[in-house]
Amino acid sequence: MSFMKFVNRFFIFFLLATLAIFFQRGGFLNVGGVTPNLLLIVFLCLILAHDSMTLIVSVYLGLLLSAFFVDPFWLMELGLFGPVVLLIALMRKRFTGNAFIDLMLMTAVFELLFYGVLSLFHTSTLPLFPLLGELVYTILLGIPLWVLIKRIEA
Amino acid sequence: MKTFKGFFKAFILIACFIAIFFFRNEATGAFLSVRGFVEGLFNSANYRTLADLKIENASLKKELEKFSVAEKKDSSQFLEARVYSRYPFNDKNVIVIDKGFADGVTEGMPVLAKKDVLLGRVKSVQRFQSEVMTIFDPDWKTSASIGNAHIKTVLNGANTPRAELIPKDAAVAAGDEVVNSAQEFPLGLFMGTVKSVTLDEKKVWQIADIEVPYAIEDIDSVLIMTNFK
Repeated sequence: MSFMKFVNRFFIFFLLATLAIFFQRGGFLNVGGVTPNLLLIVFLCLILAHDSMTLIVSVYLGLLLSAFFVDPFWLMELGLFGPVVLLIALMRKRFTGNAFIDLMLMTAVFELLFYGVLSLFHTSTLPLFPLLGELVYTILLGIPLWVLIKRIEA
Repeated sequence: MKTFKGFFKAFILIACFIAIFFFRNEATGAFLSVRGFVEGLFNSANYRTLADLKIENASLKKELEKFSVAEKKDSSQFLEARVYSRYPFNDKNVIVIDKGFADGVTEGMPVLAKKDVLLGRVKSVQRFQSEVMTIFDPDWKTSASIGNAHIKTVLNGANTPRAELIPKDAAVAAGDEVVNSAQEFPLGLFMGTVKSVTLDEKKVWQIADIEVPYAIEDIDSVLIMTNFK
């Protein structure tokens, strides 16, 4: 990937990630107390569209840096978000190869790993209903967003 | 030329980060304005008014009860704060408000959705922002009492908060008021009403789902009780 292409794609996905976290923090698409994981959708689309760990890491580090200034209370969760997404990116070749099925599988794997590790830091049990709701809602939004991002990229 | 454009873009990005760092407070105000605009696109004015009216109604009812029972000098001091953002994931329910230790906020201060309606407590504080744990958070566990008989219970946080460990023979019915009885908050603060009552799995205790007079996503501003402790 040339440097200019890299910078262009970095800006597109960094902007999408920033918008995603903006919508998540604002609770705009919240339904019944369940917020979809738009940030995860952006990163999964990035993994599916571009098999470039450098790009994924760069977008993630940019997001983490901005979160350090804007959302310092949730740095632990955002700090955990990155490694889990990177792990999924590394495991990408082990999935089916079909973008839609991979998107669903990756979402499920993320939910399991991310909240599973987070539960080690929380004293209470996980709220299962909101997390299952997040899984379904994220997949439902992820598929049309993936189609849209694919068209933008094309 | 292309390389220059790339470096120029990177320079702009770094400059934006530095600007956001030095103008955090102003950026918060801008963010709140943009969020208000976007919320206006998603929520109709009527829905917002209805949500505000419901919570104001619950607050005014509690005020009226205070006046009708006894004349009481209310010396509570409140600091109004705007909700800056919400926790972006689903395993917790905390909000961030735009007041911090520079405004006199400290950990543990009660936070009210409206006067006399308990929402949560200040969990952590930074210079211009504070994190508030709400009664919808799974880690929320406080003492509460139900109805005129003041039946003791434990309020557990969730998307629908639940009152648990209610004695099996206690007369709890839908519509009974749930008020705070924990010492870390003012006694008698309204929390919600009983929505439904069931027995737990072992049929030893009753469990009540609590209905609150607002939706957490509709809360734009809160009141911090600054002189409670």
